[in-house]
Amino acid sequence: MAPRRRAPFARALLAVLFFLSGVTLWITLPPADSASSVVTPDVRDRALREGRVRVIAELRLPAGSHVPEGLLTAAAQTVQRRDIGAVGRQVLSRLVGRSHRVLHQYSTVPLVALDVGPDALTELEASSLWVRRVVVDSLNAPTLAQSVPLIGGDVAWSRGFDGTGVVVAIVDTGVEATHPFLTGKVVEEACYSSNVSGHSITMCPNGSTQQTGPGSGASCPLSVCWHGTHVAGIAAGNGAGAGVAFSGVAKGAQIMAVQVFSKFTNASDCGGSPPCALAWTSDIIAGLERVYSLRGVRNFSSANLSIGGGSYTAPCDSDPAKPIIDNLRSVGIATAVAAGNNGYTNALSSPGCISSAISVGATTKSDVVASFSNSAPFLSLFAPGVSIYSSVTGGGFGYASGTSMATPHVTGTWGVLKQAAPSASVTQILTALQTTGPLITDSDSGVTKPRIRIDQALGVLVPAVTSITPPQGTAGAAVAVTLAGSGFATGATVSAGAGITVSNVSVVSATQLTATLTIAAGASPGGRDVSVINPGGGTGTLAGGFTVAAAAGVAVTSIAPNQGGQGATVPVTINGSGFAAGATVSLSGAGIGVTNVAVGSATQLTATLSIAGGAALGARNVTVTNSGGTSATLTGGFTVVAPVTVSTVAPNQGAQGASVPVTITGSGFVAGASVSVSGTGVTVSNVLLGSATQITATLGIAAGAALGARDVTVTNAGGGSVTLSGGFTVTSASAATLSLAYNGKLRDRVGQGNTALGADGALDGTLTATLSAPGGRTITGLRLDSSQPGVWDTDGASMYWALGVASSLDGVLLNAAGSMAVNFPVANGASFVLFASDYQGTEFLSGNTLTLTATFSDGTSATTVIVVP
Amino acid sequence: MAGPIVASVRAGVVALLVTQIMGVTALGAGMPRADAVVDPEIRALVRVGRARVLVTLQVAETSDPAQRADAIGRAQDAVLARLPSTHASVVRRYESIPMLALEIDATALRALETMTDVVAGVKLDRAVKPQ
Repeated sequence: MAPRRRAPFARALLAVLFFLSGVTLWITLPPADSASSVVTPDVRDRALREGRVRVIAELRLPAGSHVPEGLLTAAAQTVQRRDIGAVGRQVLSRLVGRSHRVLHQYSTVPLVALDVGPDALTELEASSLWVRRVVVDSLNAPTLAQSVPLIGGDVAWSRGFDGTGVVVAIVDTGVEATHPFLTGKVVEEACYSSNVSGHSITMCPNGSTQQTGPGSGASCPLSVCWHGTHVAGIAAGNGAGAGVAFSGVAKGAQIMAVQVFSKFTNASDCGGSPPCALAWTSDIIAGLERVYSLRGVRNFSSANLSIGGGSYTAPCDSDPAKPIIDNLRSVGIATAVAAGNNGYTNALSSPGCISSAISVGATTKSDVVASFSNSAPFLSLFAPGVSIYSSVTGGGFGYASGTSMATPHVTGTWGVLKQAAPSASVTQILTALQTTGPLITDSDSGVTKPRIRIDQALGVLVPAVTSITPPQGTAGAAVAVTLAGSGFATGATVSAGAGITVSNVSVVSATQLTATLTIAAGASPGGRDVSVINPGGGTGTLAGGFTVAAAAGVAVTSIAPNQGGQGATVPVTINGSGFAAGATVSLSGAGIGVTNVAVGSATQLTATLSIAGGAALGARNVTVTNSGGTSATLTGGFTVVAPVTVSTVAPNQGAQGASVPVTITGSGFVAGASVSVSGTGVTVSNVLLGSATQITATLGIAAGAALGARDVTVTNAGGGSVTLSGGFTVTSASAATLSLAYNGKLRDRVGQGNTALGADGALDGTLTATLSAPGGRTITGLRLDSSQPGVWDTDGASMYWALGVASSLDGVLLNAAGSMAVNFPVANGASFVLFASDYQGTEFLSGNTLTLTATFSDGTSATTVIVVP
Repeated sequence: MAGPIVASVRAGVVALLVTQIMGVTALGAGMPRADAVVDPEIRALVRVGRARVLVTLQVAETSDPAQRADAIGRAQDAVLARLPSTHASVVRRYESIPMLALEIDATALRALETMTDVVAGVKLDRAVKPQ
């Protein structure tokens, strides 16, 4: 495919280049309007208002529109320059005698800069044969000050990214290292320049064909050698040292100056104007290889090649420069190459046509593709390249246009982005630029490519963290957090400072990620900077975004219940402070398992203790351990006791409607033990733990409680329980009755005295008592009174003589020795025998009245009275 | 370093080189380069004198930079050893890319074309201008 050139150059913006260390001018000519006056209205108004006006007169060339010289043969250039001079002289001759002053005459563009009065202006208006139009010579701000903000450079600087710590390699005509715009920036230098007989002469300062070290990359001595200094200024110039208000794109970056041009002395080589500077491809490759060889010494982001030739309508990957560009790219160094200034709409110059190079086309500050710029579907990027004001040799500044000027905008951009994303590959940065830059369509070809926007690319390469939820955690805790922000890339990692381990990072979206922060138990309290690091090394940090709170001191003050029986499963509540979610509980020694730990609050948790049947008896230490490892122990806080047993309930019966205090004996009783009686109608109250073997309680027997035996159950607070089957009997509330019969003096079973249970040689009055009471009774006390008078009882502590009791005439006395007490059941209708010593010999005489009172275990009593027959 | 160029053919070489340079620079016109082992314009140039060329070499790929540099050096040495010394001179040797910059005449070009075991291609060393 043949290359195509874009529309006539004269339709586009015209740039005039000056290289003056002082005042520089920038001229923009609006499109001519053939239907209107040569002199634009604003020129006329200003002349009338101010008397004089600075103007630019565009000359009408006999051949028609002006054609950029780069598109002309040497002969055609000569013809065009001759026409420019001739027309200019013709116009100036018409101004003789008119009020005017010539400011500039140009040899390569059809313009004349004038300071004119009204009469001269009238003459110009009358010279439409020679003058196309007359416009105001307007002053414009330096355009690095425009182009850098246009590509978001100032925003990048405000974020702290200006290329500091990065080196950009300018492979060009050398760099004036002493220029105030570049002072202190040139840190590496080299020169590769060739002697080829009849063609080129080396321009290396030492006269050799290669040189390295200080001074070797100095600007070459030809007039075009301002080029490298201009390019370097765009990429990395810093206005602070030069006293100007603008800077290059990577104003903090350092520079490697590589001079690769040779002095060509042949008119044919130079297109008719020797000497000129051209660069052999072999020297360019050598320069790039020098960059590659220093990659371990310098932190190169990019190499700039504002160089080119030829036209290629497809990638030119057989170009000899591709291997070294590939080498550089493989180690993360981009090679930005000018697309070329031929005005092609479907072709690029070499080596910009190499697919692994970053080819750069030029746009205006209005985001229009520059008329001179090559573009093609395989172009990488656009950047500003029209009328860029930058450093030039001699210490001054000047304007220049070209893809040469666009390219260092990209080179500097790479420096800024590599500072921000140090490990980003060339592809990652190129993708960021291509996906974020505004799309520019070449109206002549329809080719649409992005124009660089550093700030937007930063948004992709460098994440920003705006919040962390929750924003704090306690030492020893593991905290699931959500980070909000922007630019989170797949594969991003998170760091949160000393003492915090980050895991489970998951990028939910470009604006949200989740992670787990595990805070070491010993982590020092205080704020931590939280950073998100994208795969390219772009790092976004929220300063002090997360705070480590001091771990609350853990203390265990009590456990309830504080003991449990072997084999029991005991739900416990542990009280203390500083309990954290995830806390665990353990008990010293073997045989106690802990489950169902639940932290209800910082001061209370619950758990279940499973005590093995064979667990050793005795005290155990109770330890609560927070997830961070902090722990506290309650020494001897829990005791393993023997299993609970119940042996007796005394009394073991009670009448309907009675309230019966009982004593329960057994083992393994613990604080908080409860007592229950089976069936309905018997309530238990006043349960009191006397010891591990005795409990007292009061049984309230309802009047309607069913008669009969009940099971008595003791349940420890720890859950262990035991039941004494039929341990208590509910008896009838109806009154028991006694009947008594005097049998005579039949046996000698008791003596004279209140505890005399032995024979005393005298027969005792013997009586038979019969109980009439449904359900029977347990007799707990007896007393016999005689009208003689005389009293006998079963209370050894009383003053009355002993009353012996037996179940039959010759049965064993039921009285307890010493206390004389009785406690024996008597069935309904059953009888028992009483023995009373006749200590006066008159107690049982006929006609005496005998009264017997029996006290029952249910608190009731019965009395019977007989007369001795 | 550039070697001596035969004076009698210098003028012709210059004329052809100028044509090539202008073809890719000032004139700017051109077609995509063919992937020929030897650029056709080199043959035209060496018919009347010497040409400045870039010789790409066949070197086995390796991930070890030191091994690769050794291999490149050996390949360069192999080519130079097999070139007739009076017909070629070394312009530049490269350490990281398998390439040599040479000035050659027709005899050297023919020798290069026989080195199919080590020479991958012969490209014209073109001159380009600032953009």
